[in-house]
Formats: sequence, structure tokens, C-alpha cells
Amino acid sequence: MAELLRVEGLQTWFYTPSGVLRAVDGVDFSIAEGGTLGVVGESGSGKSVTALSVMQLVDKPGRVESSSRILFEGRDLTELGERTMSEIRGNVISMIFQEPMTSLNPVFTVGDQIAEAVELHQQVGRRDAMARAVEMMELVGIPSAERRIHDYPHQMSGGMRQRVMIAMALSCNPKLLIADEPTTALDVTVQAQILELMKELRERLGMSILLITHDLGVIAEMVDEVAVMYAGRIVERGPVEEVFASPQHPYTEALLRSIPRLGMTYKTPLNAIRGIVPNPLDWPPGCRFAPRCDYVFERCASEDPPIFQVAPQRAACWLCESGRRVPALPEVSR
Amino acid sequence: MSEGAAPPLLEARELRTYFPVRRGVLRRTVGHLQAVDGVDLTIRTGETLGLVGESGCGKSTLGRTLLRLLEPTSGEIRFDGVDLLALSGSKLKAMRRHMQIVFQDSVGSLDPRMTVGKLVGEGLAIHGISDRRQREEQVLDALERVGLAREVASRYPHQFSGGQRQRIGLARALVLRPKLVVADEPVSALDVSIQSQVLNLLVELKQAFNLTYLFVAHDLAVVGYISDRVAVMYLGKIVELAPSEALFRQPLHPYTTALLSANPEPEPGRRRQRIVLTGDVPSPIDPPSGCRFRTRCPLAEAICAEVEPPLIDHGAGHLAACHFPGKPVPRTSSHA
Repeated sequence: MAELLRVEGLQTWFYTPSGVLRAVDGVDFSIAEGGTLGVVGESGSGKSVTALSVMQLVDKPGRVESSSRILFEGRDLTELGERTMSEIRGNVISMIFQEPMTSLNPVFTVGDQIAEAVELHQQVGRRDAMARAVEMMELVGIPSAERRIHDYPHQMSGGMRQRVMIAMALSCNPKLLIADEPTTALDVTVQAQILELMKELRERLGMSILLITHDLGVIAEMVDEVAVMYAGRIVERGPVEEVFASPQHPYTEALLRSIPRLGMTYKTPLNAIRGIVPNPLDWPPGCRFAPRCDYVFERCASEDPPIFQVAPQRAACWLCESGRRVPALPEVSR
Repeated sequence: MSEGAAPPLLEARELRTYFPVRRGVLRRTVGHLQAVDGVDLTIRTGETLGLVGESGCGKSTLGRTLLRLLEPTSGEIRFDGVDLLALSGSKLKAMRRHMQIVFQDSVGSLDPRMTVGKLVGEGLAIHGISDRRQREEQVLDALERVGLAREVASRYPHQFSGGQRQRIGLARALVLRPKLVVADEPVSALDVSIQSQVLNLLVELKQAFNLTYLFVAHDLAVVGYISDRVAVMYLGKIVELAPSEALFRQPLHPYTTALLSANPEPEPGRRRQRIVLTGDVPSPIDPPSGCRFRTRCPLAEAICAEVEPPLIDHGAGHLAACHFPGKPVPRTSSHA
């Protein structure tokens, strides 16, 4: 499969009064045409800023540093002007966010908003654009789309609004869909509906997906490849099955061990990761996970580990320098 | 801890909490939002009872009503053998000491100008427990018990991370040595690595202080992990209540089955037979007749619209409110 997006050495820094906040600090990944990549991490890990950087939506005081490369179909997005970029955004690359209520305009009907995106990018008239809006709303499973196209966002439930966002994002047949926590604000049964919808649409339309989430369960269901972020960096990436079954970075391992699974009880204590996420204004020297790591040794505090290939995945840990580790994971029943 | 022998600490019977819905210029009451609608619930001394459900199901309202932070529309609540709804004034205040609540971000919603020490000690002062010096000592003790340094007492809440703030909230509840703690979504706002720290702490504290918990949350795996028994709520009613293990192994209500199957689990590649419920939760202002779940239930038949199924015991303390308990729910296989 051909490569659609390649990000190299991405650094997105925020120049705040308290100092330089290195939110994303050297991130590399790629997505193949039709591929799905999940970026998982806790708050402050830099996952959302990574997505915004690809969209070129980072505002002052933030800046994508000049050494960063964001190659989309071979073109470097960081070198495009705002005008060219606005033709790409919402058209070839589109994005959906966590809270559809804040991304939808409350004073326009949902039909108007979907049609606007179509008119803007596809040189069609109002009538055709509205017809396309109905078609898209049917595609995302909104019942009686002909009628609901005249609804305002507040007249819809959270799940329906997220469907509208997806309809809008897909209305111009994007090659890449970036979804930032698309189901986090939804209840679990509605989340299941939206995840099923996204899977179905991906198969039907063949687009690539960059999925940003904190939820390891959502990652496991949705993507082929996963990148685990910690403190502004990708600490591990690879095929989702291998990364979950045999995590090579101690952070990935600790994360997987810290979540309660269905059927576990309090008689078995959870594996907590000690300490707190470090301050992005002052990342620790050496490996950024070292202060919280169970396997830490001297070298970790002084030398920053590069990302080692431990086929089929890669991990930025000194323990992987000499090959694969055997992580300690809980027995998963059933 | 879940033996039937443990005496009840809190018992609610036929509990209803309705909120008036007002419309128009005259703000006339045009209906009632039935947030909690006929709940019978017993919390046994020493257990953790989990209360799980989706947003709007009434779980938080129920938690608050049980502590009488909200006045029920009707029903009975007995706490430690005392009729809670008959109490008022100083007697109610004295009783409140034994029933504490921790929210998603309790400390974030408190006065930001008070030091942590003041915030934690506030309850002691209100209830006039011990003298000033003893109180200070009790506050520092409580902070230590939740894993914070004594020094934090002189700092302000905004200087702490979410996980630390949740520890402060727990110290604030524990310093009063309550019998019952209602924890309403206590870990929902926390990152996974911090969530596990707080869950472990809750388990430790429960043992150390002989606490009884009502743990309210939307996350099934979290509720199942911490609870001895779990109650599942849908549109103001409890639809299933069972020991955790039985509920997860063999759910009897189709809503519970659907919730379990919808929960995304961190196990890639497992082919899931998922039940995808259609539609959204109906409005609690005008709930469906009969069984409230029938409009989304894959098993619904004519009887479900006519007769409301009672919550009855199907053996070994496994209660369900369904006309077809345990009947297999048709599944659609997923693409994954």
C-alpha cells in the first residue's frame, strides 16, 4: 500500500510566558493509504497537538518548528501557505472532534452546515449541495434525513450530532480522516454505534484514519497500527495486536496493566503507575518515563533512548537495545 | 464481604425523586422529570455497592437522594436503623457526619482561597468535633492516610493535579470517620495511570476504616472491579442487581447484556458478537409504558408495553426486572 501521510521529527512548541512548552517533541509516524493509526496517550502527552499540527491548526503562541516534516502524498504541508492549506482542510483531510456541540454552529441547521462544506470545496450549487447533505446523513445512519436536515444542533442527541459531524467530515470524500476522541463524550451504547459506523464507512469509502484517544479499548477495536505517546514523544509503535499482547516499552506495559478489565475484582490490586506525568515545561533528562519506570537503571536518567526496532514493533527504551523483552501482563480470561 | 448476613446500613423503599418541568411565561409545571422512580435498594454494612448506568439514568440523583442532599418526592430511607426523612435540624446535621460524598472533582468545586488544611478540617469545625489543636492533628493524619505529605495542608487546591485533588477530597470525607461514603464518578476525570492509584487507595481506605461505599459510575469495568454487588439503572429504575461476579458472568437483563457487549475492551483481534442498541434513551419526562427499556430492547414483545416487570430475585441474590430474564439476546457480528 502506498504511503499517504509521513510525519518526520515533528516538534510543536508553545512559547508561553513561563517558558517553552514542548508539547510535541520529536514525533515520527506514517499512515498507508486505507490504513488506520491510533495514537494513544494520557492528558498532556501531546496526542491532540500532533493531530492539530497535521491539520496546520496550531495557533500562537504555538508553532510547528521548522525542522518538522509533514508529508501528505509527498507534499510538505508545513511549506504550504494558508490559502492552499484551507483547500486541503475539510476536503482531502478532515477532522472530527470530541464535542460536536461546540464544533457545530448553533444558529444554522445541520443541513446548511454540511452543504456549506460541499459548496466550498466541490464547486456545486446550493441545490446539489443540499442533496449531497441528505445523502451523507443517510450514509451515517440518521433516520428520516430529508426531514432532520432542517434540525438545529440542539434538537439532536449527542450521538446524532456526532453522526452529523462525521457526515460533514466525509462529505468531500477525504483521503484522511483525523478523529480526536470522537466517542469520549458519548455513553457506551452510543459509542458502540459510532465505532461501528466508523468501521463500516472506512471499509466502504477506503479512507485512512488517524484516531486520537486515551481509551485503550477503543484503540483495540478500531485500528491496525498503534502509537503510544508519553511526554511529547512516541515511546512505542507497531501493529496493535503485537503491541497489546507483548508491549516492549515499560510505559505501554504499565498502562495495559493499570486498567481494570471486565471480570477483575478488588481482591487483585491494580498495577498503579507511581508518580505523576512530568511537566512539559521541564521534561526530565534522559528517558522521560524514567522517574516512574519499574525497570529504571542508571543509563535511563542520563541518556535519551532512541527508538529501537524490535520487530514487528519499535520502542524507545534502553532495554530494547539488545532485543525483545518479555513483559509481565495480567492473564486475560475468556 | 457480600454474605447475606451483613446488616443493612441504608435501606430505601419506593424512592421517587421527581423534578418539575416548567414551561411558558408563567413557569407553569407541565410535567415531571422522573429522575428516580420507585427504587428499592439496600446497602449492607461493609459492602461496596456499585451503581452503573448511562448519563441521565438517575444514578447521581439517586446517590444524592439517599444522603438527603435532594429531597425525595416520596418513599422511605432508613440509615443505620433511623428514619432519615423524619429527621430535621440538629438531628439531621448530626447524622450527616456519618454519610459523606466525594464527587468527580470535589475539591475543584470548593473555595479556592481556603488552604487544603482548612478544606479538610471544615467538616470537623462544622460538627464541632474536638478542639482546634486536636482537629489540626486529625487533618494531618487524614492527609497522610490518603498518601499526601503533611506539608500540603498549607497549600491551595489549584496547586494539585487531578489525582491529588481527589485524595484531598477523600481526606475531607474521611476525617469525619463516616460510616457511608457515596463516591460519585470519583475516577472518571482521571488519566488511567492515576485512576488505578485512586482505585487502589479506595480499597485500602475501606478496609482501614470499615467503610461502606456506594460507588456511582458509568464505567462498567471500574464499577465491577471495586464493587461487591452492582445495580444497573435505566431511566430512573434499577433493572438488575447482583453480586459483581454473577452480573458479569451471566447478566439476566438485556440492557445489562447490551452494556457489557458495548464496552470496548483492550483486546485487539477478538471477534466480538456485539449487541448494538438502536436509538437513544427516551425522555424521563414521558417514559415508555410498561418496561422502560422496551423501545430499544431486541427481545420486546406485546406484554412489555403493558405490564411493568417487577425487580425480582432469580436466585442467589440476583435480581432482574424483565419479562424474559436470561433469554439470549440476538447479536450482530462486528467487522473487527
